[in-house]
Amino acid sequence: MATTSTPGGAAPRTSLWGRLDERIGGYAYIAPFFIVFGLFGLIPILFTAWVSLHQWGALSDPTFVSFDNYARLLADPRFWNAAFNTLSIWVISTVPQLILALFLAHVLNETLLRGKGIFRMAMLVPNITSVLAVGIVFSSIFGRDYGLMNFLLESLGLNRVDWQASQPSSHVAISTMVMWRWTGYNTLILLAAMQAIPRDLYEVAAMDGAGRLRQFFTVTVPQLRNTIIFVTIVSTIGGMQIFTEPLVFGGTQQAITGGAARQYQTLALFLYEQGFRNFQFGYASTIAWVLFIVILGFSVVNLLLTRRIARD
Amino acid sequence: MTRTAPPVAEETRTRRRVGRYHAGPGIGTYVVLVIALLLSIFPFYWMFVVASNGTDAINRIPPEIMPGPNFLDNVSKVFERVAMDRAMLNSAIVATVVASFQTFLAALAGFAFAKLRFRGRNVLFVFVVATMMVPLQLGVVPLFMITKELGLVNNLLAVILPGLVGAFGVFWMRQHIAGAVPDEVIQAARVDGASSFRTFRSVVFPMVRPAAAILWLLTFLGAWNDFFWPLIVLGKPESFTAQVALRQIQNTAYVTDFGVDMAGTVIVTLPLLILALVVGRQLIKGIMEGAVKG
Amino acid sequence: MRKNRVFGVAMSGLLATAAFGAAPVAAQDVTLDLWNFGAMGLEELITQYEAEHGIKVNIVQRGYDEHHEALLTSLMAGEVPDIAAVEVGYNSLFKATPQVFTDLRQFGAEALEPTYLDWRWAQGVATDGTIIGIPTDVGGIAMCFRTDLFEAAGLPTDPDEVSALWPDWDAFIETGKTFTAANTGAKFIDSAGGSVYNLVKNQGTEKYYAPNDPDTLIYETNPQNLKAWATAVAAIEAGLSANISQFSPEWNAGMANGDFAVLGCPAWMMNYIQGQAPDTAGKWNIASAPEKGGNWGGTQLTVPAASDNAQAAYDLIAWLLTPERQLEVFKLHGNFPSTPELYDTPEIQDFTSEFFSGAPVGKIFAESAKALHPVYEGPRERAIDREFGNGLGRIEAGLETADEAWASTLANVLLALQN
Repeated sequence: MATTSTPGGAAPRTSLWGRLDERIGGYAYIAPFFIVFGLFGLIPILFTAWVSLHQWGALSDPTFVSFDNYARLLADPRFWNAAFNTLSIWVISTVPQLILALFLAHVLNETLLRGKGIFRMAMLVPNITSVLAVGIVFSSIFGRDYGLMNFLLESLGLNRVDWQASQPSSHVAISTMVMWRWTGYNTLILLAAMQAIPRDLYEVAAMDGAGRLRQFFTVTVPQLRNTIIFVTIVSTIGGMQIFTEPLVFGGTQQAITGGAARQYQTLALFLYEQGFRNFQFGYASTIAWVLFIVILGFSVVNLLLTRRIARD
Repeated sequence: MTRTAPPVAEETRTRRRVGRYHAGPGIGTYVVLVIALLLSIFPFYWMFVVASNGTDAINRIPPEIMPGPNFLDNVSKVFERVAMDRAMLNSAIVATVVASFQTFLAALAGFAFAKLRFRGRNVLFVFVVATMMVPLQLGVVPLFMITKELGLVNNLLAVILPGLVGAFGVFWMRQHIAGAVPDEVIQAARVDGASSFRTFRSVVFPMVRPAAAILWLLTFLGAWNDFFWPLIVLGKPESFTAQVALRQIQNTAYVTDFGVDMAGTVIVTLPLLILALVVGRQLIKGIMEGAVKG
Repeated sequence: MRKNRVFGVAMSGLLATAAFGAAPVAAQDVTLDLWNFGAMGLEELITQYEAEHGIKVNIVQRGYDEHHEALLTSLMAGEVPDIAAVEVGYNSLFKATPQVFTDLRQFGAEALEPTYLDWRWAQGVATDGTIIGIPTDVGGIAMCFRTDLFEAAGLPTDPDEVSALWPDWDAFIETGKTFTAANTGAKFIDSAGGSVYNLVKNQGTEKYYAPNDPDTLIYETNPQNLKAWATAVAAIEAGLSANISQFSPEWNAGMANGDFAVLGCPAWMMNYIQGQAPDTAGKWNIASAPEKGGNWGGTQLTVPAASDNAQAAYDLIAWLLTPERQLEVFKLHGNFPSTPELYDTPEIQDFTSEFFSGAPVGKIFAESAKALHPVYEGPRERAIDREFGNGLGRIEAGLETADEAWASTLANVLLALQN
C-alpha cells in the first residue's frame, strides 16, 4: 500500500513508524466498535433480512417462502392499524412537546431568572426515570374507575373517560407519558442552543423595533433550525419504536395486542406479538425490516421538511 | 460548532448586555415555570403516595392524596415477591460495566475519528452515525438466537455484550475531541515520540474527561432503564435486572397491589433520583453543551 | 404446617409413594426453578417441602400469557426452569413437541394415573404417550355472588334460592335485568366475556376444535360457541356488564369495592377473590351456574427436558399433587382437587367456607367436578379464545355492534391462525 496522505490534513513531519502507528492505531481504536456492533448489530440485522424470507415457527425449522411475508404484511390490516397508531402517537406526543419545549426554553432563557438550577433540575428528573416506572405511575393515573385523571375531570364537572377503550383517548394517554418524560430534556437542549445564539442578532432586531415575541420568531426559531431538526429526528427514531409505554398502559392482559380493538397497538408491539407471542420469526422479521424502512424514510422526510420550514 | 470559552463566563457576559434592554422576568414567567416544575415532580409524589398507602386507599373516590404509613410494609412485600436486592445489584453491575466500556471504547474510537488519519475514516464515521437509526427491534429475533448459540440466555452477559459499544457514544466523543483538543497538541505529542495510544491516554483523554463523565452517566442511565431486550432474554430470577424485576412485581400473582407495585417503582427509581441530585448540575451542563456541539 | 391425614386417600398415597418413594433426592444444595402464572395456592406447601427436604425452590410468577410465552422462549433456548406450569389453553401447543419435556414415565409417573380424573390426566399426555405433566386442580364452574348487593336489589340471598333464579342462561339474563332495574349502583356482572361467554363456552362438549382433531375448526358453527356469544351479547345489550376486563387492576378494584354482584366462579376463582378482596369476607356466597356443569382452566406441572434436576423436580411435583395435599390447598385457597377419591369424603363434603358466608363449597364443587367431561382443546386454543374475548370487548366498549364484532372476530381469528 502506498503512502496516500489524507487531503487537507496538515501532514506533520513524522517518521514512518509514526505514520504506521497512526494508521494502524486508527483502525485498532475503532475496531472494538465494529466488532461488537458487527456481532450484535449487523449480523442480526442481515440475518433478520434472511429470516424475513422464511416461514419459521417456534421449535420448528425455517422454510423459504421468498417475499410472501412482505406481501402478507402489506395486506394485513393489523399492520396498517399498528402503523397508524404509531404515527398518531408520535404526532400527538411530538408536536405539542416541541412547542412546549421551545416555549419553556424561551422562558428559562430569561437572563435574570432566579432559581435557574431548580427549574433546570425539574426539567431533567422525568428523563432519568425509567419508561417502565413512568408507565406504571401513569397507568394508575389514567385508570377508568379509580384513576386520578378521571377524578380530576369529574371534579371539574367533566365526563370521565375510559382511557383505554378508544383510539383517541388511549393515544392521548400514552402520548402524555412520552411528553412527560421528554419535554424537559428537549427544553434543555433547545435552551443550550438558544444561549449559543449571538446576542448581536437580538440587539439588531431590538433596534429595528422588534418586540420580544417578534424576536422569538425572527431570530430564535430560525437560529435553532439545526437543533430542532436534531430533536425531531431523535424523537422520530424513538417514536417509531415506542413499546414500553403502550405495553404497561395495557396492564397484563391486553397489553400486547394494545386493547381489544388493537386501538393502541404500535408497530413494535405488533412485532413483539408476532415474534414472541406467536413465535412467527419470519413474519416478525418482516415487520422489523419494514419498521426500519419506515424509520429511515421518516428521518429523511423529516430532515427535508424541517429544513424547509425552518428556512421559510 | 465549537466553543472554547467556559459557559459560565459567557453567561455573565450575556447577562450584563441584555440587562440593558429589559428588566428581570415577570411574575408570569415564574408561574409558568412553577407549573412546569409541579408537573415534573407530581408523578414522583404520586408514586410515593400510592407506595405508602395501599390498593384500597387508591381504589376509591376520592383517592387518597397524602402519604400513608405503609411504605415499609409495601417495601418488604416487594422483597417477598422478588429478590429486588439481587436485581438492583445486577442492574448496577450491568450499568457500570456497560457505561465504563462504552465510554472508554467510544473515547478511543472518537479519538481515532477526530484526530487520526486513515483510509476510509469519513465513510466509516458516517456508517457509525447511520447505525443510530437502526431500531433495536430490528435485530432482536436473531440477536436472541445468537445469544442462545452463545449459551448466554438468562446470563447478564446477554445484556452486557451488545451494550459494550454505542454509536451515540462514538459520535459524542468524536465531537468533543474534535472541538476541545487542538491539532497542535497532538502534533506536539507526536514530535515528542509518543505513540498514538500514549497520546490518547495522557493528552487527549484528560482534556475531554468531563465529556466522558457525562457520557458515562448517560450510558449508565440508559443501561439501568433498559427494558425491551432484558425482558426477552433474562427469564430467571437470579438474572433479573431491576426493570425486569419491576415488571415481575407487577405481574406477580393474580392479586394486584398498587402499593407494592409502586413501592417497587420507588425502589428502582430512587438511586437515579439520588444520582440526579448529586450530579444533576454537571449532567445538565453536559447535556446542554453536547446539544450545542451536535 | 399440620398434616391432615385423610382416611380415603391412604391407597393413592401408597401408590404415589411406591412410584417415587425409592429415590428422594438427598442433595443439600438443589435449587429448583418453578415458573407459573398467578397464584396456584401451592406456596405454603412448597415452603414446607423446602424445610423438610433441604432444597430451595425459586418461584417465578408471570401473567397468564406472558408465562406461557416466556416458557416457550426458554424451551427454545434450552435455558429452562425445572418445573413449569402449563395451562389447558396452551396444552396442545406444548404437547405437540413432547420431546422438549421430560417424559415422566421415566420416574414411573404412569402409576399415578388412577389417582386423577381420567380426562385431567389425559391433558398431560401427548399423542405419543409421553407424560409431560401431572394435573393440579379442576375448575368446575359455579357462580359467586354478593349477598349484600342481592339484598339491596330485593333478590334472594340463599344459595339454593339464587340457583333457582337461573336454571338456564335466559333466566340468568332476566335476573340480571331485575337486578339492574333496582339501581343498586353496582352492575350485575363484571364482564360479559369472563362471566358469561367463558362459562357457556366451557359447558359444551366441544369448543373451537372438533374432538381430537387439531385440523378441524368448528368455532363458527359450534352451537355451544354461538350460544355463548349470543348470551354474552344479550348481557351487554341489557346493560348488565361493568365492562371490566378480567385480571386487570380495575377488576381487582371493582371486586373489592362491590362494583359488580356476580362473578363466574370456577373453583380457583375463590382463591383469587380471597386474595384480592380480603375485606369482602362474608359478603359473598356461591350458587350453582345456570345449566350446570363446565370446567374452566386446569394446569399440569411439567418438567422441561433440559432441566438438570428432573428427578428432584418430579419428586416435588408428585409430592405436591397427592390427594392429601390437594385437599390442603383446597381448604386453604379453594382450588379444587383433581383426585376423585376425595370427592365423597367428609373432608370435602362437610367443608364450608367462612369467607363465602359458610357456603358448602366442598359439596358444590365436588358435584360440579363429578359432572365434568373431557373437552378437546386444540393447539391454537388460546389464540382463538383471545380473539373472541377481544370481540366481546369491542362491543362492551361501544366500538362495534354485535354483528360487526362477530364479523371482525372471525376475520381476526383467521389472521391469528395464519401464523
